[in-house]
Amino acid sequence: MNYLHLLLLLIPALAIAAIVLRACPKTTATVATAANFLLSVVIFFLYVQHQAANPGGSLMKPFDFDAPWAALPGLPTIHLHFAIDGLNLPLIILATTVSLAAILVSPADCKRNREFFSYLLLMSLGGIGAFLSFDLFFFYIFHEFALIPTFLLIGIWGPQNRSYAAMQITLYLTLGSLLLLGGLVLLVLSVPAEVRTWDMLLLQQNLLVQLKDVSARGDVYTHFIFAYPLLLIGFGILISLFPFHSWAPAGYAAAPPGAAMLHAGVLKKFGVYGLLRIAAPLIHLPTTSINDPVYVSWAGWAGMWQIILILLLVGNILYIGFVTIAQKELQTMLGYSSVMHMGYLFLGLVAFNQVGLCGVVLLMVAHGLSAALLFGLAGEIQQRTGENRMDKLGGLATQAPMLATFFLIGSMASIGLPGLANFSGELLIFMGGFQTYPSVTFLAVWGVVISGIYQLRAVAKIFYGPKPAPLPNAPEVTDLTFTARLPYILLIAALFLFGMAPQILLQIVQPSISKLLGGV
Amino acid sequence: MTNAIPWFLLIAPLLSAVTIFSSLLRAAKPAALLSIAACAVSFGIAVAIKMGALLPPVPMTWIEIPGLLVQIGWQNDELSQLMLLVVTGVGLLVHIYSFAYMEGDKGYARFFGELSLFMFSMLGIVIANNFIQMFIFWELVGLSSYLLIGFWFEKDSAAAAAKKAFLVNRIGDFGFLLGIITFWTLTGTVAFNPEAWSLPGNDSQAVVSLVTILDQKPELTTLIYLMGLGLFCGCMGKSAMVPLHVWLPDAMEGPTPVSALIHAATMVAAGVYMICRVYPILALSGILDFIANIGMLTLLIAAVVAVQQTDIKRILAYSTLSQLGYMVMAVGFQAPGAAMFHLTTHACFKALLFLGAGSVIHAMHHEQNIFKMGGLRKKIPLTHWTFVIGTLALTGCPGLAGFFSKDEILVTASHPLHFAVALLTAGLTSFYMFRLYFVTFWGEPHSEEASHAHESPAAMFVPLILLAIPSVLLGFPQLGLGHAFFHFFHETFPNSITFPDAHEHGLNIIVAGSSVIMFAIGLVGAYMLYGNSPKKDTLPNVALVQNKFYFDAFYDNVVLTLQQLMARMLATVDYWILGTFMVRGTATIGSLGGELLRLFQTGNMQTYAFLFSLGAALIFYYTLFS
Repeated sequence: MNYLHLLLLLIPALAIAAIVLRACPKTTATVATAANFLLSVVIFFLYVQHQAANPGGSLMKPFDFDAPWAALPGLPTIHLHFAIDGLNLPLIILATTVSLAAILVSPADCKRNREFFSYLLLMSLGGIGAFLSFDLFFFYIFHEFALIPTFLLIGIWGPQNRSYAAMQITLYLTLGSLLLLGGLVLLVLSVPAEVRTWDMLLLQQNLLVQLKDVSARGDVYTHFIFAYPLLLIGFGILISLFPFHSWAPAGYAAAPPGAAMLHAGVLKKFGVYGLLRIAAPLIHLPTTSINDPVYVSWAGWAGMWQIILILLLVGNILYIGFVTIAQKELQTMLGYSSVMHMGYLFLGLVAFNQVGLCGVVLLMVAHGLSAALLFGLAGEIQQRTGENRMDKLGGLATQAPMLATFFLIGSMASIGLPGLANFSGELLIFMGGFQTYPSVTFLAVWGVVISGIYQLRAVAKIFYGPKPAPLPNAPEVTDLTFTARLPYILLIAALFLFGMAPQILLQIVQPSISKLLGGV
Repeated sequence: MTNAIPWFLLIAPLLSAVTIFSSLLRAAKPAALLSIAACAVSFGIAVAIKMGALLPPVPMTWIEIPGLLVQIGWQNDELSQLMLLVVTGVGLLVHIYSFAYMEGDKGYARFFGELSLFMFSMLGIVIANNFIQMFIFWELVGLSSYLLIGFWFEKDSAAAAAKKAFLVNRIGDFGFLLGIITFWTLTGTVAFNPEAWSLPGNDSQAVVSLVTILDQKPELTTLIYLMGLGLFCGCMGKSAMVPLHVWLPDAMEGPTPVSALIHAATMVAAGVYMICRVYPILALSGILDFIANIGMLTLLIAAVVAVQQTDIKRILAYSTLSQLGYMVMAVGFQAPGAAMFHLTTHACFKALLFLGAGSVIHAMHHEQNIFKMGGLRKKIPLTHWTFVIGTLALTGCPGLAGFFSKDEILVTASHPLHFAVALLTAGLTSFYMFRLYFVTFWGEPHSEEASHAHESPAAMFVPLILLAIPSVLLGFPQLGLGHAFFHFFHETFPNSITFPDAHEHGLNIIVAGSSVIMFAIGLVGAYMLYGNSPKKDTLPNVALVQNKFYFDAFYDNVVLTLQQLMARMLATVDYWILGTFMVRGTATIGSLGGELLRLFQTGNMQTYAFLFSLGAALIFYYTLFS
């Protein structure tokens, strides 16, 4: 058994300790996240190698650490269970990439920089930990763990409107987590005491066994009836499911760029990952009998929630799409746009077929990269011009051509231009969505037009047009320096790589999706 | 090792674009030479493929998951071979022309980088062997078109035109994507391989043919019709069919070589190429009549608008629209061969006309209003003579390329209305082109610039001459181009549904005669009205035509206003109702609750004692008496 992946958690933890012990904050954080990034790449290659050596997918995972941690009276033992499979590995690569970029864009000499970089590392650690955990307890705790630094980063270092935004995002997300916790506990309790477990894969197996047992089945379904909506809304709030999205635009507009990149890019994917792994399969668990009255009532209930989710996801795409068009501030617009793109992910999830779910994983990675890129660049624009209202900007392409080029690439990625990663994800989601819900997909595809409208309008307003008359006190706008380009080049390279060769990710994602679909 | 050399058709321009953007942006001339060399490589490979000296490479897998296989492949047949020659040939000449035309522009290197990006994307469309590959490159030409239209992005009008082009194309692509997805859902494949569609029940490839579906599941007929509509939507966006045509005239904000290559010869023809490529699918879906009518509408509207334009490039742009209408209409007439024939000849003479117009504009110091020109025939004779050839070819003068290809379309028009409109437009074409010609080149100079005009450098007029040759020769039946296309379609798609009355058309005396008469009427009319090169339009301005039938006004006012209204309204709802009332409201209730409970925390011992005894009394009451 290979425990290399535990280093992914150890490195940021050690870096935080070092920063607390007076190591140079930005250098330490950069070294740690760069090491983590390289480590995740190494793990990726080892994983691919292992998969190639075990065609058909042996049960043994190449990276799997499982040790009992705490025994609770009346509840199953909590395990430290960190493993890697085809579903979380892409997200871990995403997390390490965005973490490195987020550290690199953050100014080394900001106020209280020791705390600042510790909190960023803590966010990164929380995200990676949540993705790595196969034990529901740690899965939940790591995410909660990342919310606290988010609150502090917005509240202390936010550029504008910070205290209200920090309160709102934290309370809202905590509410989501609370519902989620209820759902998770109910799910664990849905099986008889002797087979209860916190392990998400084991739990799913146990559920399957219970569902085959006629006497036990009723109890499981009764639990589902309460657990599923809690999970859906709980995760939904964390993903900014319409109409629970208000925290996202306000929070991202008020966050320092590094924090916005980490949250929009990485932490938000926690909810999608949870839905994909835990909640969505519940609806599709196979049943041996359809005559069971409890099953029938659960099936009707599940169908209703499926329809609700469809309505909400159309809201995510079309309603939020129009709202995004009307936005005047750059970061708020980007916040809404990232809410809108979540609608596509929900579409892939409700479709719940091979093609659609592969698309969901691809788009999670792609959106994380492109959102981080755009939030980072928005920070650069605001820092250079002191302005985030798009109407007041203009002609920046003449003064800062590199910044303009990067922003254009980010915009093109975000609107799903082929060659950049988002396209393949959206394409697969639309294809999978159409197989199951053609008319919903018809509505969802309008998103490609709407996102084109707001994103290109932003590009034109900020970068095109005549060079503006210099403001009396504003300094001359400068382009990105060589070192300032590095984080963006990293993100852009990843977008191009996964856009030109999506099979790199699909080769590891697809077997795991098959397993997920085969398990249910 | 597999045969990798042909891939340099795509790799060469891509490498050129990447190199220029990453390191040559400040080195103008090396960037241009690199880009030209890359285009020459592509041209060489296209020739070698046509001659059979190179074999197409094996496809590369792009996405492979159960149920979906997407490859980047090479559809090697007569159709793609000829199209490759058109794209790389015209492309190479335009590259060379731009070397001189763009001289001194501060974005010189960027221009060539973007031109290479365009070549890469366009060639990807031509060799596509499946829908997804075509869509990928389809969107990428959209990007390069966006970048090149907005090349002078400091100008607000250029930035706006670029955005408009991209967004209008996106609407078309929306339909195209849905059409592609529907096709995949129905048949389980995205491949163009025609055997996969027309042979029933090819189980070995897990393909269900559309023919079988139509036979066995008549209830899907509507869906298949909608699929055809979606696919055609892609063509309507890229080939600028009414009502999605509005972006093309505005696209003239880009540099003139771009207008020649992208917005006249190649990219806008990609829509026509696509519907020819998937012709049997469209024929099966029963959408051909619709296609013919849209083509006819575009043909007529654009030709009428062209009559009243004054900007030399815009006249040519509307002319392009109108000619694209001919091609699309021909596909609707079940004559994709005629459409491709006209596409090829049109690519030559329209590129010639645009490059000629560029030469005129260059000589006129960027004046584009034809009524400020005049008398240029003596100042720039070479440009003048090549322009004459282009005009004659476009207007259908007997013996030149446009005459033969247009005739082939006219012959296939079976409905009298279609035939009448096509014939009328032939007359209009002749009229507006000779109007342009007489006003620009005849009479006396109307302005300072016109009287001091000078011939352009060799890099500019050599491409003109090289384009003039095919504009004359390409149509002759002895060259066999028209026959080649005709045979290609009838041999590749030998199906009774796709070609119900398949017979080869020869030159029809009545049709050819009436088209010559229309040509003459247009020429004589233009000569009588504009032969002396008047300083302003002799015909009165017609508001309806001047305003281009109010398409732009409708989009700018009604559609845009509605969209903005909707956006503002929903944003207000989102801000006040969701963001403030619901979220803040919930928070306020929470804090009000806290405030309320605070009232009980007085810190007064007597109050606490009182409340405690009250509570105790209540509990006693309930436990004892209920």
